Amino acid sequence: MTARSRFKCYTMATFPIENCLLISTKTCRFTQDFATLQSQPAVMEQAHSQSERQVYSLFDITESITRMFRKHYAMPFWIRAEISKLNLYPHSGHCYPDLVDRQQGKVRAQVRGIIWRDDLFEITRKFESVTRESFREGINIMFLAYVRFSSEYGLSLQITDIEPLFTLGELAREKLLTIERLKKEGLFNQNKLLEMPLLPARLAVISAETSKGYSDLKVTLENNVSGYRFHLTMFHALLQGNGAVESIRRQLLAIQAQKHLFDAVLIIRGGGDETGMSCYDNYALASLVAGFPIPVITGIGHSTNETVAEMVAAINKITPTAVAHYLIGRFDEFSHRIGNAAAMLEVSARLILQTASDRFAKASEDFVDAAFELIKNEQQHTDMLGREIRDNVNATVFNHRIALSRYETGISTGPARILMQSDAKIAEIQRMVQVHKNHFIKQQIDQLNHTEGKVKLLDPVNVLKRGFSITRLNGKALKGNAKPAAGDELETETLSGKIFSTVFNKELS
Amino acid sequence: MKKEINYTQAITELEAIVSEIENASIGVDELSEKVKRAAELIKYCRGRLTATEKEVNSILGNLGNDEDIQE
Repeated sequence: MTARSRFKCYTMATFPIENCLLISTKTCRFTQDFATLQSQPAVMEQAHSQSERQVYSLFDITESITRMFRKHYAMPFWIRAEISKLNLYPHSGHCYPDLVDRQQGKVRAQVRGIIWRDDLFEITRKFESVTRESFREGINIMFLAYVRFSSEYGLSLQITDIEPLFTLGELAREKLLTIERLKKEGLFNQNKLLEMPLLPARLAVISAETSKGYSDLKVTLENNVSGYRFHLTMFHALLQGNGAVESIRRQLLAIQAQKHLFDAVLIIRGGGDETGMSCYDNYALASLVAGFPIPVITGIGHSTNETVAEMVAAINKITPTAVAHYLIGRFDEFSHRIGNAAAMLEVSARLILQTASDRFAKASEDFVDAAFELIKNEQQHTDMLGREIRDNVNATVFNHRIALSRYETGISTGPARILMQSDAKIAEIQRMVQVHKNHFIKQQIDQLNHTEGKVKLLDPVNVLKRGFSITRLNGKALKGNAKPAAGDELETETLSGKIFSTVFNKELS
Repeated sequence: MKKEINYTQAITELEAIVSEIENASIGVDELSEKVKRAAELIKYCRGRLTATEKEVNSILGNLGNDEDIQE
């Protein structure tokens, strides 16, 4: 912006005819020469049509052009263009940059530039002091140039001065574009989101072996007080200026091919001048860093603004030494964690032991108490049982004693009673005898008398007395069934004597 | 008196004799013999009771002496 406001500036493509009118105010001869130039082809055409050819040597033509340029382009112009190729010839010290004008990547104008050795020195110094970029290919510059035409070399722009602020603005714009594009593509935070290994020890280092930055890194890592071991693998690269983008990219891709061997990638630069740092704003490099599969740590040591590569790297430290301290810090942190864990372990173990010990002591106490309580209860129970046994025994013994006493009483009183009963029986019998003895005798006498009476009644005399007689036949008493025959002699006895008779007749029933 | 006899046998025999005497189901002829036997049995049983009582009390008394718990 500054550049545009301060200078009237042209791109090489937009340096058209119509602008000449503006320029003509600076140089009045311009329009005249321009008219002359325009008229010449018309003349030639005329000649051709008349078959009267006027033939010019090439030199005539180029000299004519040269003259025209010398006349009309005597004053220099501010022009912006990209240096597509620097073409520096170290031997002569001159520089013949290819200047191009691109629109959407396509070249729409290309002119060769010339910077003479003395101008180049001044331009480079001025440019680098302001932009902190080397005067190199691929950058856009705004320069003051004379438009030259020489018969021998054709059209060229002789650059005599430069406006570095323009390039600074361009670089800033490019940087912004890179950032925007990375964000749009979702790459910007990708490397930051990778998990940094707990102990980043295997390190792929993109650096220059001879650089002070690498030396700082190495010395700091190797001399860490805790004796941590880091394994550095060197990937040599250009770290600034021309070719840095491609060089760093090539090494990043080499590392990517063996990424399993590394915990992190370090991009280390330091020492020397700080020109050519814009390579880290380059999209091709920054996007590779952003999308890199393992964490990238940058330490490219500079005092200018943070570059895009640094923005997208997982970790960015300004200096290589700071990178080394960061890595050592990771180890320290881990060591500290282990130390804490060890201390914690000890405390915890002690606590657990103490708790267990307390519990055991308490349990022991409880056990003893419970045991005493149990024993006491059992004692009481046993005592009670003992008492019960004793009481029961005593009661039983007492009952048996009572029974025995009863039995004794029974034994002692029983016989007396039995004897008494026997006595009583005898007495009764005696009494019965006494009571019944007279009656018994009388009875006997009565019976005897009765029997005597019976016996008397049965005496045959008594029967004879009562008038009865006994008739006998042959000495035997004649009983009812006797059947004496006639002529039998019967003997009949009466009270007064015997009568003999003979059976005369018989009348038997 | 036979030595082999125990308390239960003795008391059973005694009870039988007492029952006979109380029921007067015993003849005068065997009376004095039975009473003599009963007296013997009673004496024996009393002796056994006294001995048993003493023994039990002695055993329980000994238990009481062991009550101190050793820690």
